[in-house]
Amino acid sequence: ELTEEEQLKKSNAKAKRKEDRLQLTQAGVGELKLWLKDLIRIGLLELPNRNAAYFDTVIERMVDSKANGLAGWVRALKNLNFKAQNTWQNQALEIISKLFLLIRAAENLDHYSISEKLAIKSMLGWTFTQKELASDKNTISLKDHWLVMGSTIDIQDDLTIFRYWLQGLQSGQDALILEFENKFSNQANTTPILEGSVIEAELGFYPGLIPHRAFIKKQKEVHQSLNQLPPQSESWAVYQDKNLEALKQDPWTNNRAGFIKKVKILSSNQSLIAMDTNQNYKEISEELDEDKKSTLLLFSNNQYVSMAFVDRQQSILPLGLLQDQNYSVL
Amino acid sequence: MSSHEYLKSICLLGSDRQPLDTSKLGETLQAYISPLKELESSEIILHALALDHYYRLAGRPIAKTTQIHESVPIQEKIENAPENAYKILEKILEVEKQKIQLPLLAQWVKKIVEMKRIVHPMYLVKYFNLLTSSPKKVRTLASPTFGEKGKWLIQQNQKYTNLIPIEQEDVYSFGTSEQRTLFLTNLLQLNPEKAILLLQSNWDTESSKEKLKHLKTLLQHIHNDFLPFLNDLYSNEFSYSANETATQRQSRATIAKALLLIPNSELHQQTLKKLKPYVVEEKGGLLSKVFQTQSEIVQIPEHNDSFFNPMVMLEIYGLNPKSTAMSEYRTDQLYWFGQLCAMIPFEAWSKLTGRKEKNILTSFLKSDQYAITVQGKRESCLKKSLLLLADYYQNDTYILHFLAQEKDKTTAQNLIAKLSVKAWEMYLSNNFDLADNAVLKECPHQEKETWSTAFSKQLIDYIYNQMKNATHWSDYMMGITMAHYLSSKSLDHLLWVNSTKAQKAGMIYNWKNHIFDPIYSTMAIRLEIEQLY
Repeated sequence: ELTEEEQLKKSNAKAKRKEDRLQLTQAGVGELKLWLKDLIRIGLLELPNRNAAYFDTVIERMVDSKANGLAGWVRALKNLNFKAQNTWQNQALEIISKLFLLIRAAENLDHYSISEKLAIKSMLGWTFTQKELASDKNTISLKDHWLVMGSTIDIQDDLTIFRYWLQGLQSGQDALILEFENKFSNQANTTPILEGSVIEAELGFYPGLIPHRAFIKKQKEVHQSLNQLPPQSESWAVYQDKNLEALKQDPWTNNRAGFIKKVKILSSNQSLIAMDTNQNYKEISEELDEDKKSTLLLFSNNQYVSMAFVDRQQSILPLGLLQDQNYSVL
Repeated sequence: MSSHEYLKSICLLGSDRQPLDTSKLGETLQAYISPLKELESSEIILHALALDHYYRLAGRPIAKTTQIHESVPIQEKIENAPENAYKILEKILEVEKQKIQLPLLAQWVKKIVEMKRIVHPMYLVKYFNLLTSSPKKVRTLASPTFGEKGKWLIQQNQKYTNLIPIEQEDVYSFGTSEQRTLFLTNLLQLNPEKAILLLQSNWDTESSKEKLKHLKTLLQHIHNDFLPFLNDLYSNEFSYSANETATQRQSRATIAKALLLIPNSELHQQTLKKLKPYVVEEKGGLLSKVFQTQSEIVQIPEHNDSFFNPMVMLEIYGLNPKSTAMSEYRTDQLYWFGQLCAMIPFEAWSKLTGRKEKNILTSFLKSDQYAITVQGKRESCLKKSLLLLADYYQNDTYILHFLAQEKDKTTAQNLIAKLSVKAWEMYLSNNFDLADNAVLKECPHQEKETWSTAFSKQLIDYIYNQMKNATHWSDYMMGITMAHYLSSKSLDHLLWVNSTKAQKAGMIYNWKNHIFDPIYSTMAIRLEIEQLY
């Protein structure tokens, strides 16, 4: 056991490490701000002519500054499809807008509450283990029957990222569970998350301005059918209002999953749209593969259906369809 | 220009080239950035850009379509297959080896067709993706399971072109030549009378090439009921004419072959009469009669005579007098005789010569007058024809006699495949040393038929013993074939052999991987399909 003096020493050392880390990150934030300002002075039209090293140098600086979150934003700029003339410019402006807002938030960290600070730090690149979050009393937790609406797989070099979108049947809260896999990971002890199933569980949420990324804290049972219908937006207008409320609380929020009650899937100008009863619509993301598009069209069969989706802002990515009490994953 | 467009143009060109003029921004943005005057221009632009982004995001209207979408839902007339059918389909989709997967899918399709159900739209895409890799027979069989939505999906997606269903009644009128042949083949097996009526009613509209194709199909499924139709064609449309085309001659040759196979046809009987003078009289000795040792049974002339001559062979049998195949025979007469041998059933030879079938076959295969040398080996020039007869004649006794004399492994394998189901199992039960995968996978059993339980059990024991004693095992596909054909009633025996013998003997690798696992997992699915209702 440590003596009082030792404990004080340890606690001081820990506080110093935290302070050093913050200063290191703040230095990275400052560097990135300068880089962004230069970018604006020179002009974004120069971006397609830049080689990979131009971005990689900044990405490495951010990683060195322990600001992996910021490095991710720069990586997104680097990975823009510069051949798509119509889209890359708007996408670049959106990334820069959000990134600058995050830089400003980091510069004014002292003005925020403890939970807000944690959320911003998380976006900058602070990591939190599930173990420490599970034992932290401040971690937001929610018990519910969680419908696993669907999943996507993202393969980046040697890393595979599984994203599972869930929605609480009682609370209507959406949640995103991430799982990472590489050639060294051992999946033997992980409980598989089955798409379309309902998990009776308590979810813990990672720090965020509004709860989103989650982990399973305690799991009771897995059901194969719904015992109640999930809360659904009546129309795109209702969904948009709800979405705006979320945006006010968290300007960086994205990839939220939702449920809309009555949409028809229609072909329009070689793409698909999901039209509600007011003839408002959202485009179906091109990310949805051809087979799933066919299934979506067949299943909806020119009739109104309830649909779960991920909001990609410019479009939606359908995850599954609800018919009576039966949920079918696409 | 809107504030957004203005800010975008500055950001794209760069503020060094296009400095910010705040008066060109909207009032709200101006009010927000006015206290930031002290900052560098590029930072002010970043402030304005971020604010503009969120203003636009918050105020973005929802897209509205003005088009009126009056599409009508597709109505199904047939009920969907039950939920548990898709659980089985999912299991089939997960099977890794296509050689196991496709036969299981074929079994599943047949079951759904029997149940008179269609596939639920949620599973159609997965189902179609697998079905496109299936044999044509299965794809054709599967068409009633598509439903209206399935047909719609096929029209929408080019990758499903090979699934285009053609309603049965339309196939013969509008299908491709291949589709029509497949349809006719099926009909000849199921309802020969109807097939002939259909052929007759459309005959005049067919091209000569299509007619020849149909005649060749008929030849593969010869039936006594075809006699009037064939006689009519032989005596009229395809009777010899000096200026006939090659297709017409080939058509006559095909009809003649068919008529020779039917014992009560005029041509068959006339041919036997013509052949009678060539039969060698049986020697009178007792020993010779008992053992039937005489090898020459038919003596073929060395030169043209009143029967074996180019004109008769052309006019009556449609045989090409200048066929390149003639070079494989010592004389033209032997070539013609060979052609007749391929079509005259062995019972007829027996009647004609008064000898046992076995002895006639021995004579045809061993007699010196037919001997030729092929790749350094002595062989009968009639062998090809006699093997062809096995195809048309489909007589177990004939094939078994042939097998008793055949030493070539590949030829024997081909002959075994021509035996009837019962004879095939019996022959292999007595000759398990021949039962390798090449033989087993060519079994004469229909797609849905499995081996008898007794044969299945015997085979399991034989394979187990083979593996136990073998130092090396390379017949990796054996388990896959067995998985497809073993009787489900032999599953208990397989489990018993596995638990009481194989596991105790420590036969892990070959037995488990190549035999037990593929059989057990496949049979479990097969049983589920069988029990589906």
